[in-house]
Amino acid sequence: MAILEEISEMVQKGKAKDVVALVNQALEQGLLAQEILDKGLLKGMSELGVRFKNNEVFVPEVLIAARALNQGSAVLKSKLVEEGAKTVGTVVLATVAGDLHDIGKNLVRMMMEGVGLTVVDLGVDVPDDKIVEAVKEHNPDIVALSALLTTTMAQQDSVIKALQTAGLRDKVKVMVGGAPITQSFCDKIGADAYTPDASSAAELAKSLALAN
Amino acid sequence: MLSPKDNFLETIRSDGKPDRLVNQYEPIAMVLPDPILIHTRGGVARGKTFIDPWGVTLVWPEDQPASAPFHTEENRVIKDIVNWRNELRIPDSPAVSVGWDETAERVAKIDRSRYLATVLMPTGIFERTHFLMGFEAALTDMLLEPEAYADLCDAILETRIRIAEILIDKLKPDAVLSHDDWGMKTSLFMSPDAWREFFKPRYKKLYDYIHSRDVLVIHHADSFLEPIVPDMAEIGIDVWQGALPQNDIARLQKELDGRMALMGGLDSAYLDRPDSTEEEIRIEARRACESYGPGGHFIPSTTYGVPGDTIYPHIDQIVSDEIERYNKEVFHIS
Repeated sequence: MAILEEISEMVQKGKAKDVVALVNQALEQGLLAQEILDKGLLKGMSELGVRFKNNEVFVPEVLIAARALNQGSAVLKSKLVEEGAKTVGTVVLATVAGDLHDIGKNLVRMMMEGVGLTVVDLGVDVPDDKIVEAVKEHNPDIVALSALLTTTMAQQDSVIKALQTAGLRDKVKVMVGGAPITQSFCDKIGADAYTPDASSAAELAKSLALAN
Repeated sequence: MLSPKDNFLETIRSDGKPDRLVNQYEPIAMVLPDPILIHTRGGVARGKTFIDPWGVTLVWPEDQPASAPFHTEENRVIKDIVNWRNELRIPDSPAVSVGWDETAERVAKIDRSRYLATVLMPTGIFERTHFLMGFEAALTDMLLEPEAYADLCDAILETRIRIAEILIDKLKPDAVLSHDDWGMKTSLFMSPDAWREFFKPRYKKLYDYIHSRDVLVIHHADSFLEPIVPDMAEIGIDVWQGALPQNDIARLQKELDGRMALMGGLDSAYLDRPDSTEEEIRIEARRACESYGPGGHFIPSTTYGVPGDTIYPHIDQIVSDEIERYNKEVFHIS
């Protein structure tokens, strides 16, 4: 459908007003909200994610596209409920305790939302017990942890141990990321997955959630 | 054997003849703090929240190595870029009059025949905008409100030129170490075109001014900057400090052909861990020396923006020791 292509294109260009108008138009044409979401909004964000990974577009373009995506999604929200649509999965996301950095985490959130995941963003400097509580409350498929500093990376290990103690470790996949994080660190602390950038994190989270 | 300073100067000169690799920041004698730094950052302390003279809230958690801006919807200084002139009061840091004599006395004690007296200019134009607005707002406003964003950059630039002027007038340094991080480990924050639009001409103006005073420019950005590296040489950066190994340093050395020296090659975020082993650190330091040393105009160093700043002090010491070993083996200099 041409209109879905157009929605995808406008998401990539970050044209929020155009996205909202086109989404409304698509609904008036009788398209299902799920179809508009998957083949219009999320397709646009997914294509942008690939271009971001290839260094063809940069953080500002992703930010304004995410804004357009969110405004378009808001129009669809009630329709999606009526249609009984299911999300791809849920992620509890946090920058670990002691670490105030939010840039990487926020990019991951936008990219994850861009592949259709529901993200519960707990913010920065999040204590282990708050993450454990959020897992109990939201029953996510994935816990994604960010740490930018070598002094806070060990906190990712601490969160995993807290999940174990709470008897929740087997119920979720734990993803880790951040500047000092490596695959070997991920293996060492017993996390399930490490990704080096936001778009890879989103793609992997989606496949983990779908496999769950 | 050349002095650390002369060896540094030979390393950064396009036709220079250094007698060994410069060992990290060895030739750099930082003038820290100076009165402007005390004015802008003097209240920053571990375990404390500090509001700097620009109105930015900086938080330094007790167990962390440095402070960072902490933004909420309420505390952002600039909430509407179009209205920034009404929201921001730019502090008159260059007018600070106290402490210059004491600082100049410290500068006078530096052996200038062996070391470069170097002043620090932290929080560059881009960093200042995201300190003021929050990171996401700075980057989106760059795209959505380019005129207002550029206008704000001009105002910050004007202050930085005045700060450079007063630092040079009062302290007569050999070099300025100027900080502005423009990217992440694998990409720039903004497109190369956006960088060229907002930052390149302004930094050229600042660095032209610093050069007009016969002072060297060391620019710190521990980022992936490959797409703009030739531009960085064009705007007069003498040394790019923070060249992460995620950049193709060997290729850049060939491309630059001595127009700008590269300092780094050792990723601090990878090395500066409590569990880094001596062997691991030595292997990485040796790799940087062997991979990039022969290409010339390269200074092996961790990628932090001030000397000796590793969180775990043994990292810095082992890196320096390994560079010294390399110099002994390859250049027979002890």
